[in-house]
Order: sequence, then C-alpha cells, then structure tokens
Amino acid sequence: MLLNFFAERFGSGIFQGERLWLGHLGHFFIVFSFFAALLSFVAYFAAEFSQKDSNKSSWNKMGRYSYVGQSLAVLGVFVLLFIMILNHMFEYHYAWRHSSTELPLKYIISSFWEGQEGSFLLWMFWLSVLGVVGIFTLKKYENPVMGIVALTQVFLASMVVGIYVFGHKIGSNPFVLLRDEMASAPVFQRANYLELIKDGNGLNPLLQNYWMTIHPPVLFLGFASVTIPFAFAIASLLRKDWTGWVKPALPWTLFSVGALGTGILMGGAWAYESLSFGGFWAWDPVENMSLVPWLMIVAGLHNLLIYKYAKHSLISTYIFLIASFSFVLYSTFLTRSGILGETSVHAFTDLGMTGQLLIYLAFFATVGFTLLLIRIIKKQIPSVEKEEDIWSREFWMFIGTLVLLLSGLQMTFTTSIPVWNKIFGLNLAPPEDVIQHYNSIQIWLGILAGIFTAAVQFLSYKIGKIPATAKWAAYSFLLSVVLAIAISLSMNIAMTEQHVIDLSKLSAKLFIKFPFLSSHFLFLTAALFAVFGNLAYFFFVIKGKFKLSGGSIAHFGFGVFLVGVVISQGQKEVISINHSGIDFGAEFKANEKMDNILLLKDSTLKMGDYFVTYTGSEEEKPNFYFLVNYVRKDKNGDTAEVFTLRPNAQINPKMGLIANPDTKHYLTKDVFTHVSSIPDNENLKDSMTVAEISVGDTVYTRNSYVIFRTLNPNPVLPSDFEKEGKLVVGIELDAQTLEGDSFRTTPIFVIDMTDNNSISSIASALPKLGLTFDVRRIDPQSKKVTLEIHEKERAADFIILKAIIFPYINLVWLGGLITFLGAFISMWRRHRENNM
Amino acid sequence: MKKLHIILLVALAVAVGSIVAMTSDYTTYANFIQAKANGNSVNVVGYLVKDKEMQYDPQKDPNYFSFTMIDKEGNEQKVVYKGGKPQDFERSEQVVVKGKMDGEVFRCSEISMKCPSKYVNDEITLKEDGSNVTVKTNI
Repeated sequence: MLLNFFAERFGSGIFQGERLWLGHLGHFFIVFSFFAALLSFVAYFAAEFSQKDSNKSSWNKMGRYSYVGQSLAVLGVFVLLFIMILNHMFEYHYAWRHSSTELPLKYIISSFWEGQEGSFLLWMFWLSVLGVVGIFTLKKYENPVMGIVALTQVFLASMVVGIYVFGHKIGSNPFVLLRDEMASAPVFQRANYLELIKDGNGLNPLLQNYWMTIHPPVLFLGFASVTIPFAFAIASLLRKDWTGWVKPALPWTLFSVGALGTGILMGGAWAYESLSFGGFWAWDPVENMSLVPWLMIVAGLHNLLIYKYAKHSLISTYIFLIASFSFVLYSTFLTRSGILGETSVHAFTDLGMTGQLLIYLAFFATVGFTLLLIRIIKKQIPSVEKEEDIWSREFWMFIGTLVLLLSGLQMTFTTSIPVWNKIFGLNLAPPEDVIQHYNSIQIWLGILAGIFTAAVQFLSYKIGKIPATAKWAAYSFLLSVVLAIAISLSMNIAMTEQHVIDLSKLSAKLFIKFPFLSSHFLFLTAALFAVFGNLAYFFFVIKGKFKLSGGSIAHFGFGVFLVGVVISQGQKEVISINHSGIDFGAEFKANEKMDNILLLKDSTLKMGDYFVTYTGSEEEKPNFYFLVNYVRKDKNGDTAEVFTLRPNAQINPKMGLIANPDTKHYLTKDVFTHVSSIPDNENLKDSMTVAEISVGDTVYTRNSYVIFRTLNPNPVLPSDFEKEGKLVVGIELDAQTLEGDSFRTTPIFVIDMTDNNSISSIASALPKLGLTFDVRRIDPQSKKVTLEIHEKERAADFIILKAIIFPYINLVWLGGLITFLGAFISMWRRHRENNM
Repeated sequence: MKKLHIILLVALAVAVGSIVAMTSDYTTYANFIQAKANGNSVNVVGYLVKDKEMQYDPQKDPNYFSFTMIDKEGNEQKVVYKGGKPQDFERSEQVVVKGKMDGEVFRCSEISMKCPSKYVNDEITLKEDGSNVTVKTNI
C-alpha cells in the first residue's frame, strides 16, 4: 500500500519513465493560485470595508502579496505546462492530446492553448499581468477593483483546478495523466507503457497556422482586460462614489477597446487568409460573441465620456460596462459548454463544465446588475435635471451607443438559438442564409454608425447650438456624396434598389416594397463621411493637436474600415464561375452561381482578367501544394503579368483534406485561390473484359474504342524471343481515343509445336491509355480471337478551384489598425492627464 | 415626457420590430416527410445511405453532388447539393442538410457532417504492438 502510494507519486516503481514531479508541482501551483486569489479577494475587500486606517493598510498589503503570489503561481503553471508540451511528455493527457513530436515550435506553442485548460490559463496569465499593473497604478481604487479582479481570478482558477467535491468534478486539470484519463486501455497494464506510445495526437490541422500562435494570446488579453472597467463600475457602485472612478477607469476602458478589437481583427485576418470562408467574417456564433463584448465596451467608453463631460448617462455607463463583462462570460459559456454543437466551427470540446460556466456567468451578471438596481431604486445615483439639448454632443453620442446596443442585441439573439431551444424546448435552427440574415440589419446600423462617428464630433458638450465649425461637416458630407457616386459609377455599385419590409408573418399589410437608394451606396457614403468628417475635424477644428487626436484617429480608422468592408465584400467577384455545367435535369436553375471550377492539369481557363493554368503539384509533407499559374495579358495580347499561387492541401489521415487558400496581394485588391477538391486517386479500379472478335470488329473501353484490323503472321517480336519451332500470330489492334488519337498495338498468340502445341501469349500494352491486351485463344475455324482487355482506371490530375477577387481588402486591415491605434493614443493621453 | 424616454421607446420598438422580423428567417429541424408537407426551408439531421449511389463527377460538373440520405425517422430521400462533394463524405457519421424539397429531390444549400475521427481523436497509436487501441473516454 505504502509502496504504491510512493510509486504513484514519484514514479519509482510501477510505471517506468514517468516524470510525475511536473504534474504534482503544476497541480500544486494551480491549487495555490486558487487559494491565493481567494485570499487576495478577501483581504482586498476587508481593506475596503475596514474603518481604521492601520487595518486598511495591513489588509491591503495582504491583498497585494497574495495577488502577486497567485500571479507567480500562474506563471509557474504556465512554465510547467510549456515544459510538458515542449518535451513531449506523453504521460500527460494534455501533451498527448494536443501536440506531437513532428510539430514545429510555433505549433507546439499553439497546442498550449488548443485545449480549454490551456486557454483558461492564458486568460489567467493576462489577468495576473493586468492585476500586477493595477497594484502599481490603481491608487485610491486599488482595494475594490483588485478585489473584484482577484474574485474573477478565483473563478478562472476553479476551471482548471480539477478536484472532486462531493462527487462533482470542479474544473479540468491540465496535468491529468494519460493513464488516468484512459484507464481502460490495456496498454496501461504494462509498466513500460510509455515506451510504447509512439506519438501524441497532434494539433488539429485546421489550427496549424501561424495565426493560431498569435491570435489567441491577443484575444485573451482583450477578454481579460474587460474585467477592469467592470471592476471599476462595481467598485464605484459599492462606494457610491459617482465621479472619482471615471478618470482612472478611462485609460483601462480604452485599453480594452484597443486590445479586444485587435484580437477580433486578427481572428478575421486568420479566417480570411487560411480558412475557406471566402471572407474575413462569416457571422459564426463564436465570432459574433467576441464582437458583442467589444461593442458593449465601446458603448461603455462613450457613455463614460458623456458622463465625464456632461454628467448625463451615468446609469447607462454602468449598464454597458457590466454588460461587456457579462457578455465575455456568456461567450465563454457558449463556446465551452458544447451548447453551440453543430452551429459553429470554433467550439471547444465539452469538458462537462457547463454548470460551472453558468455559475460564473450568473454570479457576475447578477451581482453587477442587482447592485445597480439597488442603487437606482434607492435613488442614490445622481442625475442632471436639465435634459440633454438636442444639438449637444452628449445627446447624439448617447443615440450612437444605442445603435451599438441594437447591433449587439441582434447578434446575440440569433446566436443564442441553441439556448432558446434549451430553455423553451423549441426546435429552431439558424437561418438558411446566415450572412444575409445578419447583413440585412447590420448594414443599416453600420450606416448610422458611420454618420454618427463623423457628425457628432462637430457638436459640443452641453452647448445646444451648432458651432460654426460644423460647416466642415457639411463640406465633408458633400465630398463624400460626390465621391460615393463616382466610386459607384466606376465600380458598378448599384445606387438604387428595391427595398422590402416584410413582416407578412404578422400581418399581410406589412409587406411593403419600395425603390430607394441602395444600402451599399448609403453605406459607402456614410463610411466616406466618417473618413472625411474626421479628417476635417482633425485638421480644421482641433488643428492637428496630437494630444487630442486619439478620438479622431480612431473614428477616421473606423471609417476606412467601413469603406473596406463595403467595397471588398460588396464588390467581391468570384472569377471561377463555371460556364460549362452539365444539365443534370431541372434540379438547378441556370442562374444559380456555380463557384467551383474544374482545372485539368496543363489546361488553361480564362477567369476574369487572368488565364489560369494548373501546372502540377509539389509534395512537402504533410502538405500538397498545387501550382496555379496566373497570366494577365494587356490589350495587345502581350503578357503583362505572371504569378503562381500555391494553395495547399494537407491530406490528413484523421480528417481528410484540409485545404488552405493562397492569395496574391496587391495594394488595391487580392486574388484569393482555394482548392476545394482534388480527385480521389486512392481507389483506382482495374477492370477486365473478355471479347470474342473477328477482323473488323470494334471493342469499346472506357476512354477509347479498339478496332481489330487484321491477323499478322509476321509480327514484330521481342528481341529475346526464340522463334524456333513456334507458330506466332500478331493481333493488329488500333485503339482510338475519344480525342481522335490513334495507337497501334499488337498482342501475339504463340503455339509451341515443340512442346505439345502448348499455347501462350505475349501481351501488349498502351500505358498512355491504361490498356493491356492479351490473347486467350484463336478459333482455327472461324478465326475468331478471344481477347482479354485489362483497363486501368487512369489517375486523374485536376483540381477544383474557387477563385475570388477582393477589391480594397487592405482598407479593412488598415482601418482596423488605425482605429485601435487611436484607442491606444487616447489611452496614453488619459493616463498622462490622470498623473498630472 | 422626456426626450430620453421617447428615444428609448423608439429604440425598444425598433429592437422588438427587428427581432420579430428576424425570427421569420429562422428555420427549424424537421424530417423529410415534414419537409415535403410544408415546403419551407428546413434542417434535416440524418445519415448517409452508404450503399446507394453517390453522384459526383467533377469532370462533368464540379458543382453538382447528389446522394441518398435517411433521416432519423428512417425516411429515405435523394438529396442534391449545388457544390463540390465534401471530402471524406463517405466516412461521415451524421449529416445535417439545410434546404427544401423541390419535387422529388431535396435541394440543399449547406451540408455539415460529423466525422467520427474529427471529434473523437482518443486513439493511442502504439509503437511495436501494431494494433491501435481506441478508447472512448467521457471527458
């Protein structure tokens, strides 16, 4: 018994080669971080609520030390998990499940956060870093804010603690042993099992992409950062301090906007570059649910500014900040509980932590909103008696945040379909055309957002008068309209369209059709207005003062982003349109788009401006690269441009074909090329037919027909053939392909007169056609020949390709980056102001 | 009434209106009999009938794929898809098709499939023993 105990702990006895110290140390650190975070929370709250200054400062010290302690423990877990994965310690389930020996370093790093446990750790890591920064910078708000941060850290630690309490599993420990996780496998009966385990399962090939190395860390930094504005809101509600929190909360909120935004944009870049979405945004549930917290934090930021400068909108500030954190938790719940099931490509495997995730969400959302409600009911929150003036900045800024709210609500409502089904026992499924479903509403909200970003800047806080500088808004609007018309004309963007208001399910009267300016045209105008309005504001109103520029830069970037969105998505052009579709009956209408086209090896097709040739493939294990040659000719027919794209496909034994697109980037457009299918040459079948034919007869094979020309008594014989004493007859055959090529071939029938007239034959082959001919017998009377025809199915060499041109997609990336840069500039400014 | 209240009411009305309008986009899960009866776009969950012919000849038309599927209640139905055959379709464990009935065929606009190996990769490959050990774990 005792021996077993030690053997299991230190790996000296039963099982050979296990490095158990790592798991024990790792799990110790996890448990330590859980309790240290709990202690930190208690100490910080004790500091917050104790009356005596000396108690306050000693509790505060304890809060600090235990938070730093838990941060060091999280760092320890982080390092140990890396050591485990890096050294391929397959005695641990996590290393075995998510990595393999052949992975290059960048993917070994990625496999760290492929699983739920690793990604929770990433989140904890960032919250530790932010918390330590907070300890040094939060000053007066340190106690309550850090207390709440520590409490969220407690919940996060509980997700990886992996202990059983009254038979319930709490969290999932990343240091679980493989032999414990899969105890029933017979291999674990053997002491040397570790020597037998060849390799880990490896990283999901869909995730083997450098974006997987950098996107999750940034996104989780964003998620973690949302905690702090939330904590500020709660702290101020607890303290009933309505103004003191605004200034210190601003830079943190701006940081969140920038960090979370960058994380989401990187996700879009990943989807665009390496998934087959055919775009950077597919309205996938997980994408939506990372965007909603961002919309909420942006709305929170704007309300915070309204409150700072005009004393309005305090309640809505709280609502948005609490909501943004709650939506982070809701999004975590959706992606990690398995509830999304089939509706998303992103979801993690269900680890049975649904209940725990739900408690986490319910706890913080309930605490936040209840506290707010209590303060509202008790009428403790101050409000300004005087209404916002209709021409004041705060009024329109507030309306703008309502637009963000509506946008978030629509996404949440449809994304939550699986949740509605669970709660109400419904049988709903996502819309047939998901993209259309979201676009049809979001495009109008985008138009409003574009106009607001530009116009509202020109109004002043608290002054209900249109300032003289607003003429710049009018000029830039006119410029936008003119430019939008010019762009629409040159790019064939329809400027008017039929609009339909269809509420016919409610009442037949609510079905209205009317012609109006097209949504794309309006969107383009609004987006251009956001660009030029903010430029004008920057140059003519704040006169280029860098200190004040953050907002204008962010809004300008947002405008550029919107222009990029409407042009690259609205005007994207599938150039691999298949014109040669064969009619399989009336099952498909002629006008339906056929996006995939077949390219035979070495044949050329015209796609858009390009002549496209598939020239062959190269294997670089485990990938196949297909060489697709693009040639563009100028007006005289001379070659103007040549390039080769190498979309790749990984033939994965577990998942089949995983295709990665390849894209030619220009400044003004991208040519996106994606292999959607390749021939299956694994199961080529040989067929054999036997035919009895006379001279002049024809036999049909799969790709050719074979004519029996004549019997030749003097056929050309192989050089090593001993003719003596043998009777030979050549069967002269002409094989003609469907393309019109003709091949002569002569199988030979042999009678050996020296050997009892035994018969044999010399087969002949046409390798090009995959045909082999052999003679079985010749009937002496009728001269009929019995021919054996072997036909090898030819290995086909073609690719099925999808090629799309995205015009001006670079504006999307550029605009996004400028927006977040603007947020960081503002953050820096607010931070400097607070320290002055 | 304050302006703010009016705005909030308008926003609420817009929100409720658009959400109600949106729900008409939603589809439902159904079997083939129901799909035939109501003619709407639905999602059908079922399985590929592996011994019936699948038609996909990219050399003729890379955007046409047809197969026979059986829904969870056992109704068999020919399904056509305008698009390429998903890789490893034969190996699918479960298929979800989104689309509607059109005469005798079910025209689908989207196929999603569940592959056994895609989700359960708990398979330990051993070095010398040769044989693979597959263990399903309930993690």
